[in-house]
Amino acid sequence: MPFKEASLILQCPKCDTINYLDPFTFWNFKGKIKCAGCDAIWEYALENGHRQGPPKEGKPPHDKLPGFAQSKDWKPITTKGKVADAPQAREDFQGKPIPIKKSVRGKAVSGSPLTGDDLIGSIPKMFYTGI
Amino acid sequence: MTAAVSKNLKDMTFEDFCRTVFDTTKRFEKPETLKGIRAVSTTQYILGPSCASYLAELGAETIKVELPKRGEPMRHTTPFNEPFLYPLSRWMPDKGTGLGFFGANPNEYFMSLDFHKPEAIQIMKRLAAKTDVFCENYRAGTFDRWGIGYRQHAQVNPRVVYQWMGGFGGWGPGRNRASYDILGQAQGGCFSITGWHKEYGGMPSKQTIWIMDYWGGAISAFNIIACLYWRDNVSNKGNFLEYSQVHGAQRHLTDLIALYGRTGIVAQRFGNWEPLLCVHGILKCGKSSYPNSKNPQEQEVGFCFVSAYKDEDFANLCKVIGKPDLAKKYPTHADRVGADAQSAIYPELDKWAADKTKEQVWEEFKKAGLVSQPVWNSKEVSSQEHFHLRGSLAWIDDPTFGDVQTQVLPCLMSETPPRVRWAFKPVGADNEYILAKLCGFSGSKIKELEEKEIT
Repeated sequence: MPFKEASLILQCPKCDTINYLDPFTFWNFKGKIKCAGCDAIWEYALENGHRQGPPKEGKPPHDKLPGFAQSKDWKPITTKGKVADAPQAREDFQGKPIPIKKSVRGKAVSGSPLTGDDLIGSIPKMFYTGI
Repeated sequence: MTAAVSKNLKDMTFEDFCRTVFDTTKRFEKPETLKGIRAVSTTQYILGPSCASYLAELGAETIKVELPKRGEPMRHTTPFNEPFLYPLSRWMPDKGTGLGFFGANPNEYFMSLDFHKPEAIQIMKRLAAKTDVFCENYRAGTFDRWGIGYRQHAQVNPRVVYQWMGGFGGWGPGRNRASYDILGQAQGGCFSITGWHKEYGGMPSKQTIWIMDYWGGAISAFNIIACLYWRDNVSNKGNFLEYSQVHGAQRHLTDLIALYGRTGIVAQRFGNWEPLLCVHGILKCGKSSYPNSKNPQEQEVGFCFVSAYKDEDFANLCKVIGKPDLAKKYPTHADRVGADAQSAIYPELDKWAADKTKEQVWEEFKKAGLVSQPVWNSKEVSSQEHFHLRGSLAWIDDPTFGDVQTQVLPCLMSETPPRVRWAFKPVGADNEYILAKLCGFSGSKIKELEEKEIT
């Protein structure tokens, strides 16, 4: 099946950029998508993951961005604003260790970096000396 | 159990009898199934450690041996590289162990040993003499080359049950290939039958978190227990066991192998529907249960499983969603199990659920007497009284890390319940205990081993 006939892939009729439409966002969708290659706006509809006709040129603003895109010669397009942000577990997860001192139910947990002085053997001293 | 108590149990309802004999608040008062068995685990990641952990939860004294200071690689894996528990070890207290280490290392004693040093090999041989079970998942033949493989173990201890776990086995064309859970799923065929049909995008999907590793660990653990039975009741001999991850994954193709053998048909992916039964699948509920949550996972719309494959249940389902004509169009299971029929039926369920949360959908199905279940996330599972009461989830006061929620073997035993005493420990936390108790080393010898970076 060529890309131009696929449902969850929108190959831009203007610039041939392959815009991947992630199923979760686009499974049932009717709206406007901005091409990650040339910023052209396309009206597009999907029902249960099936396209309801070819994309039609539309006017801004767009409703959604593709999840991922590649140029017609397979170069990835990952620029912010061109494709949707990557899925995050939580907005405060930033790829760095999160120090915590309490569990989700408010009790003490050893979730922060320690020094040698904080230990008795291999165990955090705080569980012996009180929190 | 005394005569007075057993008389009482006979008088109870079956539910009360189960609640009494499986009372999880009493599990620490009862004996352990594998008490007296000693296992050494020189395993990494999930496949090997999970096997050893199942033995440990059943009461075996399980010693995990890792490389000094940093430990095994799974300690350094954690979601998005963020959550850690501290310390990693007494030598690196500012580093933590990642949450990927959870769930496959409870109840174990932790020893550090550098196998590259000859003295370490001698220590392993001392341990081998006193061990019932040995688990490892290094590349096939590595321990044999180092002098602590099965052949060398059996010379020291002919009763040892030696379990090797890995990707492709110790022999065969693929023996030198590395393997991971996902590779096993890919090679074993699981990927090909999980995910979306080509008409719906065609993307295959892996089966959740390292399921092949955990399943492989469970299979290996029961193999070990079977061999211990054979050793102690039949033969007085040990055993060499080999578990290959890709063969385990291939087992998940179940009847589809027979289907291919009989008809030449290659099984397709069918998403969240069931090729054998209709209706028996998951529908999308259009409203989020937590629309104001900060967490994107909670903001998303919900999903609900429903089973209504019997004709009367299907008719009932069609009444619930206001589509009695569907029941007339597909009155029997044979009418509706085909792919075309399912492609017509499920979208109608999705349309009906488009303005409902998964809880609302569940309520409607429950009122109609249909078997159903909302798809719960980890937060919802964590808050379920059923799991906590029955002991498969537990908050524990871990002696090293404090208040942590963990999972316990989900099998209830009336006389010898499994239990989790601690989630895991830092690298080398029990060096002194193991080297003194099992190897007979003095304090000064133990210190010397540490200074030479052997432990």
